[in-house]
This record gives sequence, structure tokens and C-alpha cells, in this order.
Amino acid sequence: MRVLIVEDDAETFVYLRAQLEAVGHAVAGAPNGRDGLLIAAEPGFDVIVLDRMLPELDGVSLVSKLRRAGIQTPVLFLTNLAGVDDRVEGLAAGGDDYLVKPFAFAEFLARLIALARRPPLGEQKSVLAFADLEMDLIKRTVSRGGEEIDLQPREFRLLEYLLRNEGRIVTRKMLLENVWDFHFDPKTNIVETHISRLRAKIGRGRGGELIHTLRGLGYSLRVAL
Amino acid sequence: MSLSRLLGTASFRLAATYLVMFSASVALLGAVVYFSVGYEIVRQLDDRLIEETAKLTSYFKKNGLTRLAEHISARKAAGSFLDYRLEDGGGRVRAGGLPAANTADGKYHPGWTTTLIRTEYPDDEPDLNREHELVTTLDDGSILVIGDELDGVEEAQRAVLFAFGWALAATIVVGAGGGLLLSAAFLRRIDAMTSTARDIIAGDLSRRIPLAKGDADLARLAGAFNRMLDRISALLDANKHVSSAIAHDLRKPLARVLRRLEAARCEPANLAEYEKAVDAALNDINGILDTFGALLRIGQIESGARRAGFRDVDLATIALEVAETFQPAAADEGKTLTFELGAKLPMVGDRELLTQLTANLIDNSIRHTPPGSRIEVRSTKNGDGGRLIVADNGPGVQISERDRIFERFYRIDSARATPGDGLGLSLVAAIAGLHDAKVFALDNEPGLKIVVDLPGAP
Repeated sequence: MRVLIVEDDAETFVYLRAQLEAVGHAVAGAPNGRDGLLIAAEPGFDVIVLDRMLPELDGVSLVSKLRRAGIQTPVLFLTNLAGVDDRVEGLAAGGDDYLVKPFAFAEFLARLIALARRPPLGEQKSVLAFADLEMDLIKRTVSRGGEEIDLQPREFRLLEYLLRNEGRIVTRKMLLENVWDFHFDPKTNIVETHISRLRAKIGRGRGGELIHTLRGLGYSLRVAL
Repeated sequence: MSLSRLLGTASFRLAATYLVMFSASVALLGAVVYFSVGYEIVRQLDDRLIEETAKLTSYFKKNGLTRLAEHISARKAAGSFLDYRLEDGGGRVRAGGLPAANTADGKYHPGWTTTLIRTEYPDDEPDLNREHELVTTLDDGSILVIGDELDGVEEAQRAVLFAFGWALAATIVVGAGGGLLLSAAFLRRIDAMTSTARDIIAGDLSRRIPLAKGDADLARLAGAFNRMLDRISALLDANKHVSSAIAHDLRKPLARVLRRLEAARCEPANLAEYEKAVDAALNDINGILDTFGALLRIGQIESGARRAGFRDVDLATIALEVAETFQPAAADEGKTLTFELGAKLPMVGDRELLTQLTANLIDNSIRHTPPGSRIEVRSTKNGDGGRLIVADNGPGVQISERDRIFERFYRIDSARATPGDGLGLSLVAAIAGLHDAKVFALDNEPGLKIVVDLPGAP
């Protein structure tokens, strides 16, 4: 994928570019908000990474200018502050996701991929399917191999998120934020618990395992290799 | 305490103002009494002169001039204090001791007159007295003069002046003296406060303002001042405690990282062992970053800036979602999490922070109880406000430590072995504080009960 990184801290930029290029992505960069806006207007970027605080034009203003110009490229905000106000403001201006520095590269990459491959807005599926697993979003039912599975509302939401990101890595943090709306990290292993219960319901005894744990990274919904 | 400072105090100026106003009213009262006493005595005197003149005139009509003269002499002899003069038509004095008229023509003219006369008493100095006289012309042309000395009036007025003069002087002395005393007392209290403040500025935070008896206003002020000082010194203590706790708590994992990396660097190892060392180091560093993140978050919450985003929320609904999320995780750790959140807890607040508050409380109970424990989340009404309770039947917390568990980095002795950063309950306290809610720990007999009391409707 092609990534634009608008970041005034050269060290962060060089590090992210090297890491992204190492896993085969193309990276363009801009050191300030004004240049960032000009480059972001060029076609062909799959995702834009925006530092929240930028010289000349700050990240929030930049993204609202982009959105007003009709450019819908997904935007991931980076910030030094763990402030909720910041996150809400960034998302309200048109940002799509939010990551607090410092972060692990794996977390960053997982979010970039999730954003870049997100189906365009307006495309509303009523049925999500993966392998022999099927989820009807309107009837709120799940079945595997034609056999109906009874899920708790939270398990349903968890599976829906995994289905929407099939084949990609979703991190613990992504699940906490998107499934539970927890913007903090509880000490109790609630993600692990819910994943293992979900696994027990949709996996075991019904063909291959679908939810895979990637140690230190997160989870991924895919067909066993 | 110099006089000029005393005179400059607000209380003295107030006393002085009252004193001036009070003195002016005493003087005014004196003047009113002075003039009304004069007027009243003269009026009574005039009445007496008119009455006497009427009596003597009718006596003259019945008995004639000669008898009148005898009558006047008899009255004077009987001790009348009025003065008389009876002249016949030819100007001869027939009775009475008043001297000849002190007018230009040497004659009395009918009507009222005031004149200076010389009185000589045998055993006294000669004296000049003002005399008020009523002059009447009788039918045969003779003249009757009846007079009375005005010195009674003047004496009365002098007495009034004297009395009020002393009263005024006493007022001024007592008022000014009282004002000075009051000011001195006031200044002493202020000086005590000032010197306390100076000592505190100089670094002695243990100083407090002495509380004098009585003097309700200043005592209240001093009390408030002292409570403020208590709060400041508690905050400073907490701050000191936090600084050293940060240093202490972060040194341990940093030392661990150092040791691991050094070991990996020195000892020849294979790739897997290197990876293991790096992973462990990363894990430690993430822990340190989490601690910093939590500290920043507490600081941000305590700054109060988040109030701008408050909405109407129901804490019971929020707690229900959190409890449902934690229930299976608690079960996996061998603990039973039950909840009873039927009572609504409507409030104005930040959904995300209240979610974290509830999550931290449940987290705390799960982590600090042995397997098999029960954890209960409840909502109840509490007067106007609501109450959220998270209780467990674990080991509980000693009463002496119950307030301290909300302090940053504070960990009770029995919990030191459990992983944790000692910030979870501090964050709870900060979030509760932001929402004007009170959070406190109670004995659940056995176990720990954390209560969050929401403020009642304003």
C-alpha cells in the first residue's frame, strides 16, 4: 500500500518509513501541515498518517480541509497526549483512527492495514461471510456450515469486527476500542476471555480453527494453513 | 505596633467614623435640649408674670392704688421672689424694689422688656442680672412693673451645656480608646496571620494560625486559612510522595531491562535467547510507558479540562456493560462477579471516564482477591444522589490504610506481590473528583467495599 506520513519529527518519520518499506509498502512524507495537505491531495494514497501537532497547519485542520475537498483517504492520527478530547476532536474533524505515541510498530501497522483495506463508505453489507462462517447483520444470527450458533451480544460484536477485518491482524487495543469502547487497557484479560469463549462456540468440533492468536501481536481471522 | 499603623487600620477608621457620627448626634441633642430648656423656662416665667399682673390689676380695681402698694409690700415680705415697682401718675415710687427704667426717657413703657439690673445682696458681691419685665399702665395712669430674673434660665442652660459637654467628652474618650483597643486586637490577629504566612513562605509548612476565642469573623477566616494550609501541605506531601514513588517504581523495571540487555550482550547465546531477552525488555518498557500514561491521564483528569465534554449519562447502565464484560474474565480466574444495577444513577459526566472508573474498581477486586471470592457490583439510591458499590469478600484493607489506597503508587503491604502499578484507584479517585463524586473504602466484613457517592441534584 502507499502511505503518506505527515510528521515533523524526522527521527519518527525515518523509523516508520524504514519499517514500512521493510514490509513492502511505499512511503511518502511531508515535514509540515501545508506540504502534507498538498501531497495528500495527489491521488493514489491508501492511507495518511498525520501527527496531531504539526508546524504551519495542524493535523485537525489539515484533515478537515481534506474532507471538505472531498478526499476520503483514511487518516490515522498520531499524538503525544492520551487525551480523550484530542481523540474526539480528531475523529470529529474526519480522522478515522487514533494512536498515542509511543506505540509498537506492530500496533501501528495493524491499524494502517485495517484502515487502508476498509471497504469504502456507503457499501453496507447485510451478510458477512468467511469460509463456512456466516453472519447476518439484520437478523443478528451466526451460523457455521449451516448450523446456527448462539452468541452473546458482545461475542457477536467481537466476531463482527473480526469478520470485517478478515485476514488482517487485529490487536488487543483495536478490539478493546472497537468492540467494547474501552480506551484504556484493563489489567484483567477480558479480550482473551471473550476470544476463547467465541472460539469455543464457533471453532471446536466444527471444522478448522478460524481465530488465530499471533503472540505479541493480536488475533487474526483466517483459514488454518 | 506603631500608632500610625493603629490609626490606619480598617477597624480604627470604622470606629472613628462611628465616633464622629455619634459625637455629632450628642452635640445636636445638646443643642436641642439647650434651646428648649431656655424656651420652656422663659415661657413659664412669662406665664407667672402675666398671672401676677392680672391678679394685681384686679386687686387695684377693687381696692385702689394705696391698698395695692400695701399689698405688693406684703407679698414681697411674704417671700415672693418676683420683683415689683409701682409708680403713680406723677412718677413717684409707691412700692417695690425695682430701679427706675433704664430707657432713653427714663420711663417705663407698657409691654415686655428685658433689662440689666444690679442686685446687691448683703453677704454677696454686687451682681448684674438680666431681668424680664412686664409693664402695665393701670386705669389711673400709674405704672405696674413685675419682673423676674433670667439667671434661672441661664443656669439651667449652663447645666445642660455642662452635662452634654461631659457626655461628649466621655463619648470621644471611650470611643477613640475603644477603637484603638479594637484595632490593636485586630492588628495583633492580622500580624499573627502575616507572620504565619511569612513562616510558611520561608518553608515551615507546619505553621498554623492560632485560633483566638470569640472574634467569630476572624476565627472563621483563620479556620478556613488553616484548612487551606492543611490541603496544600497534603498536596505537597502527595507530590513529594509521588516523585519519590515514580523514581522508585521506575527504577526497578529499568534496572531489570538493564540487567537483561547486559546479560544478552555478554553471554554468547542463540537467536531464540536473544529474542527472548529483547521481548522481556520490550515488555518491561511497555510497563513503564503504561505507568507514565496513567500518570499523565490522572494529571489531565485532575486539571478538570474534561468537564467541557460532560453529557447526561446513567452510571448504572455504564457499570452494567462493564460488569457484563468482566463477568466471564472473572469466572476464568475462579471468581464470581454478580451485579445488581437496577437502580438508575443518572448524572452529568464523561461516559468514557466513568467506564474506566467502573472497570478499574472491578479490575482491582479481581486482582486482589483469592480464587473463589465473590465480587458484587450494585447501584442504590442515596438520598438525592446515587451510589455505586463494588464489594468483594477478599482480604480487605486495614482501616489505617483505607484512605491511602487512593494515593498514587500506594500499595498495601499484602498487595505488593500482586502485579500492578498502584495507580488504578488513584485514577478512580481522580475521575470521581472530576464528577464531584466521593469515593471511599469501607469494610465489607469481610473484604473491601468501595463506595462511589454521586452528588445529589443541585
